[in-house]
Amino acid sequence: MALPRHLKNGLTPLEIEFLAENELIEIEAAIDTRTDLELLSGTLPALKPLRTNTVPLWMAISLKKKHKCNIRVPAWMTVEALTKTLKEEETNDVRFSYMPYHYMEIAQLLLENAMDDIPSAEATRTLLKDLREARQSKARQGVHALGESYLQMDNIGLMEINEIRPFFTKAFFEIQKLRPAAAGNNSNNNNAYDYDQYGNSGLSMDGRYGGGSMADFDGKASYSSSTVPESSRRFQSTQGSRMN
Amino acid sequence: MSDDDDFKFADYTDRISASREPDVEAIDPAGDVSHLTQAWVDERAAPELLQYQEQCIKRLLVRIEEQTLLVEELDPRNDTSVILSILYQTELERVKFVLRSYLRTRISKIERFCAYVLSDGPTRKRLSRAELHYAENYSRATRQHYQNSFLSSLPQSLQSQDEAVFSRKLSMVSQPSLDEAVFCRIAEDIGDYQLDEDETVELEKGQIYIFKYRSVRTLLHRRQIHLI
Amino acid sequence: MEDYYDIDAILAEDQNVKCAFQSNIPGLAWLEGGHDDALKAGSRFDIPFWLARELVEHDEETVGMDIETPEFFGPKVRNALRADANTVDLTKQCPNFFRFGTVYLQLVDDMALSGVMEEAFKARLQMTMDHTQSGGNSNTTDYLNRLDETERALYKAGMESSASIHQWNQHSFGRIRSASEMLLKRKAT
Repeated sequence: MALPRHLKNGLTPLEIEFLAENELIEIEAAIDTRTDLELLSGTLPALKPLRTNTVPLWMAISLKKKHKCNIRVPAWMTVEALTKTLKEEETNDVRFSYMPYHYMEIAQLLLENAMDDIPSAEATRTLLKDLREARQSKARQGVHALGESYLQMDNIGLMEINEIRPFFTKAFFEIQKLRPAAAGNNSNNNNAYDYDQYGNSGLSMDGRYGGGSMADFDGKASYSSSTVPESSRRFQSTQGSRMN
Repeated sequence: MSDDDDFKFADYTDRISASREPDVEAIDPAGDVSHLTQAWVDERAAPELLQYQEQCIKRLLVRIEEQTLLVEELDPRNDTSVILSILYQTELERVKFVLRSYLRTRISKIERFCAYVLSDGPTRKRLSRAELHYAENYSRATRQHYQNSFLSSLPQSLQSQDEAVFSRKLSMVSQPSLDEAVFCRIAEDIGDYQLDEDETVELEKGQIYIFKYRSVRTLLHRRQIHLI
Repeated sequence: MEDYYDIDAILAEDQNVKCAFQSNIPGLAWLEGGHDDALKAGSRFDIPFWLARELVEHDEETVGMDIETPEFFGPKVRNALRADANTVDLTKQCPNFFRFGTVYLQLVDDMALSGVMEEAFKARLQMTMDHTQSGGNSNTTDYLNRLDETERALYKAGMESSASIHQWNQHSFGRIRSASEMLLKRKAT
């Protein structure tokens, strides 16, 4: 088998972690490389002690393991920033608040490999856990809008996407399959998804700052109607009852 | 959308470019590594085979070889060189991993949809020469195998492997299901985009959506969106 | 497009439906297990859906035949689904409820049914999603027993991805560590 079965449904958590390791991060190196780093992906300026260098996360971790650098905790990962984000996350029921695309992976890698660079590691860990739970339940709410012709989920992280991906994509597909038969039924909007509450919109989970009420975000998704021509259904059922 | 909304959105995209995507281009001017990485992720998520990234891979293979030589020349007695060597090798392995997984993903699709890949003109054009060669051999080998192991003992009329049941538009040849749903991230401002005959959506850089693959496939082919 | 080799689709089409024949049909008596040549007008009996479809699609003019709405698509089940979709035991009704519904509705024109099915599917999705993340307690088992095959497949997919993230979070993934690293860890504790 060219690709093992478990790799066929999107990426695995470890592959996503791998992608996150390409993100750039600031370090204070404890070595002087003297020469620039000639990487396949480009040239990095020479690492110098007592100076801030921006490097890919995989490199930061590799150096950290050899005690050759300290990693600067990203601004969004401080206790202060996380507390603020968590508050936003909990006050807004619909949108995801802004977090980096790879926040879960970066946080996990740093907590695992650079504990001593994180001022209050335990508090950070707890905040991240709370944040994740708040966002997880928000992601679950997206299920409501799966009957739409599309679903917008801005600011959701890649690892979070991966968690809901198989369920969401399969469910989306299944609903579309039920749909061709549903032509003409679309005026009947008594579905689980509450149109009034969200305005005339799909579920938009963007993390725009600047407040506004829940009904204020731009609504674009709408119920898409079926395209199967009436003539393709040429058989009428009888409402007869069964004998047994 | 009101002016007020526009303002907020600008603010929001600034934030994205400021902190979400630190300028990877700054260290990757050719962009080949990140280009290949995205091609790998796209390939994993797309139901169909995408265009083989020939030029990009060609350049990278040359660079990999050069880099391997460079690593060999580093002085193993010098501490700094040892560290450099470890970093270079780590990166080499990372790039090779992506390349291998990319090729394997494509081969698995070629095997799964072999007859279709060979018979569908546009898909066939997306293969590399080596892949096309592989597909042809694979097709020949499996046909021969089915023939030898059981088809030859069935009546002639039941031996076909590529018939279509016309009444239901059902073909024996498996092909990718373009109606599957995919997650994607908008790579550049696109503006209004026609999803299907009665649905338009305004696509802006950084947004994340679930779409039916079929409705955004041209955007993917043009690399205006990334699958995730 | 459907996949020719999709075993689930084949199984779904195996569902029996009750058909009522309105005219004598020469040569089809065997369908009823009879020996006479002609199938008599007025006969009513179960045949697999795929066969009913063939009869209807291939010879619409001559085979006068009605497919009766199966009981699991009947008013009782519809009303129950409308009232509270989550409590309906679909497995008991028809293990391939939704998949069979899809192929059934391609043949039979029943707007109301397709509406009911879509709404029921969506209503049950939320609960299924929640269960994928809450792990296996007794509530879950009860709930799972009421799911049809499509929903079960969804549940399973959701469980797997949820579990793999959880594992990743707990570091229990088989991460490659060097022996010296392990040794350091052990000393530290």
